[in-house]
Amino acid sequence: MPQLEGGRGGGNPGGGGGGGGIKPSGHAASFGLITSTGGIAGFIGLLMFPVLLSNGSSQFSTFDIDNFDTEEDCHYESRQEDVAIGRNVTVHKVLVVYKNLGVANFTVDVEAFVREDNGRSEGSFVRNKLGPIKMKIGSKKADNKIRTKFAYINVVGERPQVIIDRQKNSGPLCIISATPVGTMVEGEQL
Amino acid sequence: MAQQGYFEQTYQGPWKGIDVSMPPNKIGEQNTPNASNWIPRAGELRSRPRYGVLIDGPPDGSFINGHTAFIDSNNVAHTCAITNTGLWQLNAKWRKNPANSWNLIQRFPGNNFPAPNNPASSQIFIDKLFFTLGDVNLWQWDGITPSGKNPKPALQSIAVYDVTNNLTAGGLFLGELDSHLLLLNTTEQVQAAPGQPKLPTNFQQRIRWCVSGEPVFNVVTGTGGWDPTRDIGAGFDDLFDTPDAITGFITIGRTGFIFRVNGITELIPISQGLLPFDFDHLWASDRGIGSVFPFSIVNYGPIGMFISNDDIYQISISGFQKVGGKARNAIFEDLDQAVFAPIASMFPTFRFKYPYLTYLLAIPFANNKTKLWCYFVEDECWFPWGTINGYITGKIRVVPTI
Repeated sequence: MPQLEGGRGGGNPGGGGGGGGIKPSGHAASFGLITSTGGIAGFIGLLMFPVLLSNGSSQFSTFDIDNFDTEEDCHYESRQEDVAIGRNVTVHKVLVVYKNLGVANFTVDVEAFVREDNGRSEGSFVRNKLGPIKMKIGSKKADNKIRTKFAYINVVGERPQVIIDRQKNSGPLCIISATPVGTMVEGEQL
Repeated sequence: MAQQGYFEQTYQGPWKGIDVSMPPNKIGEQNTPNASNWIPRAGELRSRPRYGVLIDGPPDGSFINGHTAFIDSNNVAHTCAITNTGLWQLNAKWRKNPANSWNLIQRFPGNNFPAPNNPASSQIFIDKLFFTLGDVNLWQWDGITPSGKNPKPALQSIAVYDVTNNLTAGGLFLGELDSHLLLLNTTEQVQAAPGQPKLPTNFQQRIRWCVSGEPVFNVVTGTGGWDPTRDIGAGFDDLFDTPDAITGFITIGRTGFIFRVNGITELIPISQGLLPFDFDHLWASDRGIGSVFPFSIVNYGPIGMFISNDDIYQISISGFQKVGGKARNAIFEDLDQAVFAPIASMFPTFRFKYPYLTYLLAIPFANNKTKLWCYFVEDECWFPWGTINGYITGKIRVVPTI
């Protein structure tokens, strides 16, 4: 572990940009392509950046790569799926494949458009009648293995769209895939 | 006769981020019309790394302009914070004693305190730290002084462009090319006549360079430094061919790129003596691809990125490429709300074990909030990372000595 201050670094600092010096490699290289950015060499490090707070004080902040329990809400919408243009489809479940990074809570929902043909309104957007499906996944001992869960839903309308929401501090969420499944009526021309 | 059909549609990686270039029912299955706070590395859609405080600021509560790390000629590592009051160094035992994380190296002397609140522009050159804040100083610290054998002050303003009258220069941007340190968009002490007050004057179109490999004037030999009347290796140029201001500087390979609001100028080393550079304006008109935001220009290795009027560009050895792509419209809507110049950073890794080249754009909103946008170079996609409380005031860097 390189010492931060007052210690001795480990030999030649080269290997980064051109400003710090380049350690010759064993194989041929084109020196015309060596960058001249004054970069800093090093093997381990920490991401940090200065932030000015509302009270006038300053701090160095970071994004902690050992902790994916985001302190803010996470939100994801899939595209609106044109399963059959102008026709209603029924989404009755969403298959979620995830990786176990630890206990996490999130919700799955589907939003679709219901057309109003009598000219009285612009139509409406509907979601699962019983509300978004709450999902609890993972285990305290994260094994990083991939698992599957179903979210059972009942949404009927056009252009269904999967919506995944994770509230802040609800655990580390890792989605591998999400698959809405349903049926549609194949009828005559519109 | 109507028949019941079955459908399923899988959304999976590689996740391609925000797409607002088409209606939400016309975009690709790997894209999203609306999302926040995800990192799509290795085909996984993960909630982004947790944001939090790492180290408190210096004890005097000063404004932090930036930070960097370097190894001095004695092979000692230093992690430094540059504030508007001076230069600070991180203690080796900061984790055990967080209340005393920072030691003051030196306050800016005389009338240079406090310094402007611009993001610090720094270079590590010949085992020394050089940085500038947009005032009339280019500061140097060698990591060794002051010491028992060398009682010189730690910080020295070394860009003396007029040795006879002791006039100094600084700049908004600092670069290095072909062993010349470069100051761009300079601010210089200007004196009407010897003995008159030295007034700081900004030259938005000026670039100054020092003698190759010798950024400090040697009073014994009379060589080196920034004064072209003392050493022909130093010099300056005003880019009067192009009618706008310098907004940044990067180097790729052996070529420097001087960014202006409405164009880009290539800086090509051609000699070590008089006229060491050739200036080639890629666009010399009053309208063209340049960088609108002065602190949005960044690079890492062979890749640079900047924000122009019409898109976000990636610059490399092979040329220019538009990378704002499908998220461009959403990003520019946020840029339109910026209350001052946004700051962009490019970093190769969040930590050594997590390499993922990222361009992070911090857009300052009203009410002390900053909206973050991330471009992940490997996956060529954009994801917004919500907002944080506060304003990012310097570049995001991976500090390798911690």
